[in-house]
Amino acid sequence: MAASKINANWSGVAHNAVTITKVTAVTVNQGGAIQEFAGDTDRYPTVMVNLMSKPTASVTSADNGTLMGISPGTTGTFTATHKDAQLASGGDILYSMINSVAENVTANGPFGQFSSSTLTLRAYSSDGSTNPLSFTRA
Amino acid sequence: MRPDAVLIPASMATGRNSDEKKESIVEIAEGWLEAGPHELAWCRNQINLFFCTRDPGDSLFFPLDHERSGESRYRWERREEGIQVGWRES
Repeated sequence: MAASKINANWSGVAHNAVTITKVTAVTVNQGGAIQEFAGDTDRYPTVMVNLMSKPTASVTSADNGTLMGISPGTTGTFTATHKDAQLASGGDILYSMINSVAENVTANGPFGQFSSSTLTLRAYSSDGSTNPLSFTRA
Repeated sequence: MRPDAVLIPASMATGRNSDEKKESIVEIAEGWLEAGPHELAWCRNQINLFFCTRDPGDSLFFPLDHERSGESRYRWERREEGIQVGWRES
């Protein structure tokens, strides 16, 4: 079956050797930011550039124990696979964010509902130029 | 010897959405990197181009704490349509 070009749900989510299951959401953010310039009598910005990007990722899971066991500052590689919606071969998108530093884990438990925790990650570049966030397909 | 890295201009990405564009870039990279059946081409969005290798841990330059910090890790050669292929510097 040809890839559907639509992705739904996640598998293979991990930070370092910690496998994360019961995943209900993953976000992967390129972390782009735009700097604007205007001067003289400009009424609108005349230059817009991306001087720096700060990739981030987050994962929400019902496995609170596993996520809360990840301490802020823990560094490693974050991986996640966005599954093809029709589970077609070659339609999955795999993300890898190296040098990922765990920023925080927040646990949330509303009354009468399943609880969940969210881990947020930020990543740095080993050489200052290479994007620590990469993707591929499988 | 097959290339260790490839730089693909962002203009070569095709598709209706970001996922389709990612797939188009990976497909180009897989060809240039001569990725085997169990190998993947990992691509990084470097704004105007994509840096693709078979290992997601690779970087364009030597790490900041390396004695060769600031130097390119690859020897690059130009190919058609603005593509560059690179071989790892020893």
